[in-house]
Amino acid sequence: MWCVVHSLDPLPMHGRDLGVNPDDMIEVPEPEHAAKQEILENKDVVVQHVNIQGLGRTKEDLLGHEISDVFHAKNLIDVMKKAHMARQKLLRLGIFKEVEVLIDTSEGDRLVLGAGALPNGLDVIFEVTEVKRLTGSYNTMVGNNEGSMVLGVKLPNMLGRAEKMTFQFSYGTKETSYGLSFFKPQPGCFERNLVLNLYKVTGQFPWSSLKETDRGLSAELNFPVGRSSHTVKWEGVWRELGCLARSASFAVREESGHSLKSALSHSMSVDSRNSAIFPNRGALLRINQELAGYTGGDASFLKEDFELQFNKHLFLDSVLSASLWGGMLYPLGGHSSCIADRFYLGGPTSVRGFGMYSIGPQSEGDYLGGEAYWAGGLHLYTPLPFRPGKGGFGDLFRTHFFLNAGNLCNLNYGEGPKAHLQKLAECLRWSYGAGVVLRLGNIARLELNYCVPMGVQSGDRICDGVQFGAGIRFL
Amino acid sequence: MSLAAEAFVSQIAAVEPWPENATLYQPLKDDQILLSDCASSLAVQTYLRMCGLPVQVACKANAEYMSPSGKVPFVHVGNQVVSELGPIVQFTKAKGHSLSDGLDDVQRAEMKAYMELVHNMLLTAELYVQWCDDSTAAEISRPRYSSPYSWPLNHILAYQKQWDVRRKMKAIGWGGKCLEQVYEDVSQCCQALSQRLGTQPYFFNKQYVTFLSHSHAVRSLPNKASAELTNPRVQIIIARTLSELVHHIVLPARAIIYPQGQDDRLGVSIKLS
Repeated sequence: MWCVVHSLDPLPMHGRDLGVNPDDMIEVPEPEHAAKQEILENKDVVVQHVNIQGLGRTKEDLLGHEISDVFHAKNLIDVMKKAHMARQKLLRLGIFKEVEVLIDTSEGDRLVLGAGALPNGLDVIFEVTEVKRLTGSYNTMVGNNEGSMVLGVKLPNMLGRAEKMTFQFSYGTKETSYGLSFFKPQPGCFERNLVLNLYKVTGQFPWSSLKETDRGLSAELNFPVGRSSHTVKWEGVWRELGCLARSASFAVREESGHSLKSALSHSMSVDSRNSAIFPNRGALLRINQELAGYTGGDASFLKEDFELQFNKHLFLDSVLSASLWGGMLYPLGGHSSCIADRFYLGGPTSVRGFGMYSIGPQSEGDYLGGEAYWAGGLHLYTPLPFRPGKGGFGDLFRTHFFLNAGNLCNLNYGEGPKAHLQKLAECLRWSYGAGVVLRLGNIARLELNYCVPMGVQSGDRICDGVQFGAGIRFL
Repeated sequence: MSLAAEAFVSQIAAVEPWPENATLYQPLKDDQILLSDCASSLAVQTYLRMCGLPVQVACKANAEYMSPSGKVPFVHVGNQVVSELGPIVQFTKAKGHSLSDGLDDVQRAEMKAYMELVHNMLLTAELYVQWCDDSTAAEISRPRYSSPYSWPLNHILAYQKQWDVRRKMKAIGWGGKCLEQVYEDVSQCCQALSQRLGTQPYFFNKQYVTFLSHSHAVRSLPNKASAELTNPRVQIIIARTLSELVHHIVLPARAIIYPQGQDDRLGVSIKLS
């Protein structure tokens, strides 16, 4: 006898009704069901069987880890919660289009009908639909004097254990780029995974009159430790630098040519914020370190940088956010640092009121970057005045008032740390202003600000007045 | 260089005098530079010296990539960067320095023709021997060309360059030639030059020397870049057919290029001639 659970159930249990947001995972039951629910909660049950139906190429041992928790449920509500969590875990693997959960009274052993079925036994059945073996995408892009077509191929669940292979190829009138990536999670711990990449990318940096083509190979290992997540990575890149225009400064011209970077890097992040773009509370700490040259190649340096952010919820839905960035590049083995490795600062995503990456050392208007930098920001985010579109479209917007400061320079490493701090503290650039921020999804944001740059040094390019910015990483 | 850019450069160039700190960039002299680049670099150096324009020589491993045209040598004058002999000659002309002022139109046309001959024949032959002759490419050109780079970039860049040159050779119809045919062409070219010269000390007039053929003749004599050719026949052919040129061309050219009398090299060249 089938008993479809959601008929007696205050919690939505049928797959299609569930959102993917983990915040919804444990819903507060509606008050009118409270009496009924107490009974359900107290009823002891035993999960006898967990079945997964609809598997094709997926290996069962992979799923065992994801659904094993369901067996530990002691009462009906618990079964539902755990089944729901298992469903989330299955969906997160990215190998199923749909996962539906059915909870049924146990029929015992299927071979001997009814045998072994406990009166309070339950069977949990996951009905899954696997994603296709191969998905592809194709699109064309037209920009300034440039067109390109992008071809993407994805092979999800390639070997049956949630491996994923993606390939993207972009053929343009000016340049061609590609990327091939292989992703392999550890069964039972999706956060612990291995990623291999092979790529060619071309970047143009007009603030430095520089063009860079990278062809690289990288292997990275991601794993959580406690509340922090870590990435250990090796990357070998063949970099080709060139001038963007004939008029490029000679300092940039001198950096042209080929180089090989082989670098080991480690990054760690602890993120307790409730959202990446408009957090109300929580803090973020991210530390990156990179050692190049130790494993071969021409570039040798040690690079450290960090990012710190605190958010505090104030009155009337306003949030005070403070962030600090800093970094240092230390060339090793008597080599001087390469323009492609140095830090850049300025622009609508870092020190507002200045041109994009237009602070610090420059030659004939081409910014050369620096070996050390720091930047700090203080923001007060508030909802839009008079709250138009509250609860809907209006929540994508915030107004903010900001105070940014920072400096980028080259250090003389022969001097002591005191001299370094002094160097970083002098010629301080800062700016203040206000603007509107728009959230795009949960990864990017757009800003329209009115900025007043202060502490401008000769050679810096400023943007006095209205400045528009888009990006994924913001000070 | 496009016509517009060329016109622009000459406009700008005409205004400013030749600075003291003009620099010529070429690949690393001892370990990296190849025959053809060495010859082109010497040609430019000779020309500038004959014009009386001071230039410092800087050796950079990435000279080829620094050059706006991707070819060496190039000069950095003031804030202008000009690469290759032709544009450099134009550039100095715009500044009022020229060696061909005393020539009439016929001579000038003839001179251009000979320069083209040297450029098209000798330079192409050098490139052919460097990159299309397998043993020279494997033993000399590739290791030298890629010497500043680390593994595996050195192999990638060397093969990339070789592939590039071979493609160009195919495009100009040299792809199917064998080494013997190239020697024959070089020999003919040298004979033509030899006939033009006859018994005069210079190709055109006293002031004007076709520095280009000088430098190619100079480089055909033993120096660090060419002495290592596995197949010495190119040298021998050029040296033999140019033997009558050597006294007229190489010795004055040496004197121009090495005014301080770097006699060690001169000694070698005389012995060979």
